[in-house]
Amino acid sequence: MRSQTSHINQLVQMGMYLAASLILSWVETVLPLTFGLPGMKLGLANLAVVLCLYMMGPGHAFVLTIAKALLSGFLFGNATMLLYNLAGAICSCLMMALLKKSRLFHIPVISAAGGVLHNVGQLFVAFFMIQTYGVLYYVPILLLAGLITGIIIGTVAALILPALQKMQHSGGDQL
Amino acid sequence: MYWFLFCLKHMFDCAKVNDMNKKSYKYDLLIIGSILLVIIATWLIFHITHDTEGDGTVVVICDGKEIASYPLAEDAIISLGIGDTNADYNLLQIKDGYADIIDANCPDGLCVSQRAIHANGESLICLPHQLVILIQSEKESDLDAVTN
Repeated sequence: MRSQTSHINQLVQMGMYLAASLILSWVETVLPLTFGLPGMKLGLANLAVVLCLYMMGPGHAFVLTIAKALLSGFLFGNATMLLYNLAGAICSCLMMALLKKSRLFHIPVISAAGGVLHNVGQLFVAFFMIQTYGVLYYVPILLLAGLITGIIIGTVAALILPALQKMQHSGGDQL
Repeated sequence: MYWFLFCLKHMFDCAKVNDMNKKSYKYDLLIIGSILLVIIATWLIFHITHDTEGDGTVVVICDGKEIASYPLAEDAIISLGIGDTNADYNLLQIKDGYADIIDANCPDGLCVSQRAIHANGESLICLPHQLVILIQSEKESDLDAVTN
């Protein structure tokens, strides 16, 4: 009985994270802060992934990442954007899970590494699809953008995380 | 801008307090440093290769007709004879991926004082001799097609 409730608990939590990440993706499409660079964005949806990684573990975070990339791709983008996002999100999630497992880093740094890896994955796909070295001229600026936005998102996540943990410790029934 | 930075610092301080387990910042700085290093390295690589690529061609146009073209990558000094008897001249120098007119016997000498050119579409113009020197580069137009 106990395991069943925790199962349902996890299901509900995953649904909440997915909903939150999709809403954040939507906010991003409404308020595009691209600074004149194609492919650059704030990565707000990464916030949900970071929180899920810390609250529920890497496996759940990975499922959330893929579901988020697919759904936001179908809802707000087109086929190519879906491909870019999926590649970037998988790279970023794997990197963050690895760094978290090492237990050496603070959240902003983990999130920053995730942001950078997201852009690396996107550029990789762009490079193979366009087959031009011109894409690579974007590498430094996109990496820098990923670093800065990642640190901002990670700091926000570090602020939210204690509240979530307190909520969970005070009894799962309250969630 | 200052306000934004202040907020960011405040947020970071709060996050530091809230971070449950006390960990050293050594590894954090390591990661951030290595990412910055990669950024600087890639930027430098592309900057250098972009500048010294010199895969363009120097096209010489006199009186509306293209009379010659030279690769930008090979250093050379070329004396361009102007007019039917080649009485007038412009001395074109190609060096380190840049093209420049270093001497001429035109009356105003404006072409000599113009800066050396290297990027696609840049030009040197000598009006008295009706001479135009252009850089044409495949690479640049390729990049523009992608970014557009």
